[in-house]
Amino acid sequence: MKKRILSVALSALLCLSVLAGCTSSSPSAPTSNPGANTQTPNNPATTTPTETPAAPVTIRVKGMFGGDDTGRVPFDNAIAKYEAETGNTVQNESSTVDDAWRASVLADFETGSDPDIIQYFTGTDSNSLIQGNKIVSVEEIRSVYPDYANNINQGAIDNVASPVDGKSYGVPTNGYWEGTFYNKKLLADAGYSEFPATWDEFLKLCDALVANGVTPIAESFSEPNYTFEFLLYNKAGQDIVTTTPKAKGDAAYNMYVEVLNVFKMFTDKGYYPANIMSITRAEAVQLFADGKAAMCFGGHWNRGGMDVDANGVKQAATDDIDLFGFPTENASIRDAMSFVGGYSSGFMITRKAWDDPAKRQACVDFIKYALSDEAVTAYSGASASPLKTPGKVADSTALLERCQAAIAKGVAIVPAVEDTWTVPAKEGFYYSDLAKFCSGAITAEQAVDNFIALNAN
Amino acid sequence: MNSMVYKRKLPLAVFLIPAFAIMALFIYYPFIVNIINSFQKVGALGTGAVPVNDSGSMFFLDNWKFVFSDPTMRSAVLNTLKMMAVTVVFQVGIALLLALLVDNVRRGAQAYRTIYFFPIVISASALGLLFNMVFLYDTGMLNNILISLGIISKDTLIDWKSFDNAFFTMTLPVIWQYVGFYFVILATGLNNISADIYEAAAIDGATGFQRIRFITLPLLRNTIITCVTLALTGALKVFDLPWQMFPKGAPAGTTYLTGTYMYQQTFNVRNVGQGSAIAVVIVALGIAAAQITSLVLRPKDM
Repeated sequence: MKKRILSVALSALLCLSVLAGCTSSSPSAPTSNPGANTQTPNNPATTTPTETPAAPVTIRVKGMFGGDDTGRVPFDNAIAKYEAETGNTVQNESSTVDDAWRASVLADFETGSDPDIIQYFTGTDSNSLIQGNKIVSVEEIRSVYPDYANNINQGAIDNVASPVDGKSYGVPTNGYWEGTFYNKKLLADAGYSEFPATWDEFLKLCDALVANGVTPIAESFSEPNYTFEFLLYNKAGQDIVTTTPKAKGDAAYNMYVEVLNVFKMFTDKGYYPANIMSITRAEAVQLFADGKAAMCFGGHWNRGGMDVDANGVKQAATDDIDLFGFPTENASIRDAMSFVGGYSSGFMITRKAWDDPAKRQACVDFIKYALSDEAVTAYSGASASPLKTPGKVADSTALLERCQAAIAKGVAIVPAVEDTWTVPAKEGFYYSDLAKFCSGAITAEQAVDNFIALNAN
Repeated sequence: MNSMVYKRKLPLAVFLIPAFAIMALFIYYPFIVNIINSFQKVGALGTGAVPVNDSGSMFFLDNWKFVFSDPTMRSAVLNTLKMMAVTVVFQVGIALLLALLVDNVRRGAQAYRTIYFFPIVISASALGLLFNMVFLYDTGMLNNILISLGIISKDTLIDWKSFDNAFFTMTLPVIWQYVGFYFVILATGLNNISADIYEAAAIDGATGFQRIRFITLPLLRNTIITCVTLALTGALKVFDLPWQMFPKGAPAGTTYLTGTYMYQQTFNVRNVGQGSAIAVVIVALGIAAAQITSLVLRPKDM
């Protein structure tokens, strides 16, 4: 009899242990009517929020400031301050950004395990979240909390408007810029004291570098391609973001074909590393940081890795690196010192948290701490700051200062065209067809035809 | 005693129902939903399924049209079939060779077992990073060894991840990792063969090769079949190591396996419908592989 009872009890325990994972944490009891809450929080940059929920709650945050990201320390500090002053708890699931992280954020929403706050990409990447009514627009939040994110430039918030409905859902913490990192010493060895501003001179420089046995461009076909942005910018000018091919033979179609042909020319003339078809982006940047390649088209996020390696050891070529825009083919269309940049990510409150009376206030408060002037100044570092009153970067380096000086000389800045592409188009074009075309497996026209088909999805 | 247990159905049910419920919940139900999804337009995670297409058809067949027309899918299936062949020939083949050799070792057989089995316990992600370092282009271990041996020079480095070499570079670590697994199974099978038979063969004057050919292999047949079946179905599930070393089918989507391509379509391209259709193909390939194996290598009663 005892054995029978034991067996039944064990079986029941087994079933319950399985089902335990299926339960969802029930939200705390509502403490106030969120719709009636019309408080106007003070500027978080200077004051501490005065109103907090009656009962402490736990909010789940999934952002990009994790792992070895430079934003991790200030983000962790902001979380600690928030927890200490509000009594709330943050379940921080932030991580460095990679494909697995992107997928895990979306998978959380798909499986009904929506976080309360996400820090995510604001372009086409978040289309499905907006279409699925999973996140709340800044406009809607401000209808209840008029001073929400009021220390952030409105221009920066407008810059991350969704392609779905033109509304902004994210509050950006740091902008980005893309340009040409170059090695002054290798250029000098090739007879160039300055980076060539014109296309013809740039090609001559590449030829001279090849003749010197130096790889001109540290490039990779395994990640989003920053060269493509500039090559298209050279042809389309300020209209770059609307230059997307829709049908065979339209103006954008021909531009894309021309740009692809430049890649082929670069490949055939040996401007790229010998293992261009397989080299990863990280390996390409390291090639440049080691002083084995003369140029690297990249963004502000590459600068840190050019300063020091993963162990904090200064890179071989750091002192020789400087930043330039990109050589121009026609200065009337694009100036050589025009950059690609803007804002592409931000903090967002999820619909699930917003509709939870116990969590709404906690989330709005969290944004105040996470996006305080102090925190945002630390996040933005080498990139563009979205603050109304930007602060001074604490841990600047000589290379960072050279980059900032170059950016300050910029005559124009346009957003990356890839942010307007659908995810399948990005995946197919950058990760597959670009290399296939450069290896001769497909034609430029086939690559652009594929792009049009994928971009329609 | 045993007969009493089988006559009383309640204890059997009490123990079987939870296991069945768990399988139904986490295997059968998702599989059925997966099949349904393969006929629906599930564009991205976070959005709902659209069961009816624009033309009003009840079934959305685009996912299946994609599966049968996409050249990358064809390449993924071909790579997977090649991977299956390679794993059977080399994983099981090398494991059999090692097991036969170790079976004749009088001292330290257990040490060999531990050494050969060790790669299994290392996570595939760690192995991927390790082999990435081995196969690096200009600072990789393999190229540097070849340079030090004078086989290549710094100007003629081998790109182990190029179009031509990628499949070899991808399969080598996979083979290396799982040889130990099959080695242990085969070594255990060899232990079950009675020493008396070998002694009798020796008295009859059989050579070592003849003993293997006419005693060991026939008596090991069922174990080998088990290993082949596991290797074939295991090859269909290989994911982590190839993905770590060749993310997104690099270079240019040429190294996708069905598993990695399913992941790519589902989580990166965000087309759950297409990912579901690929998943069904994987299951179909698995069933076909298992059936063909059991037909060709029918186990014999010993």
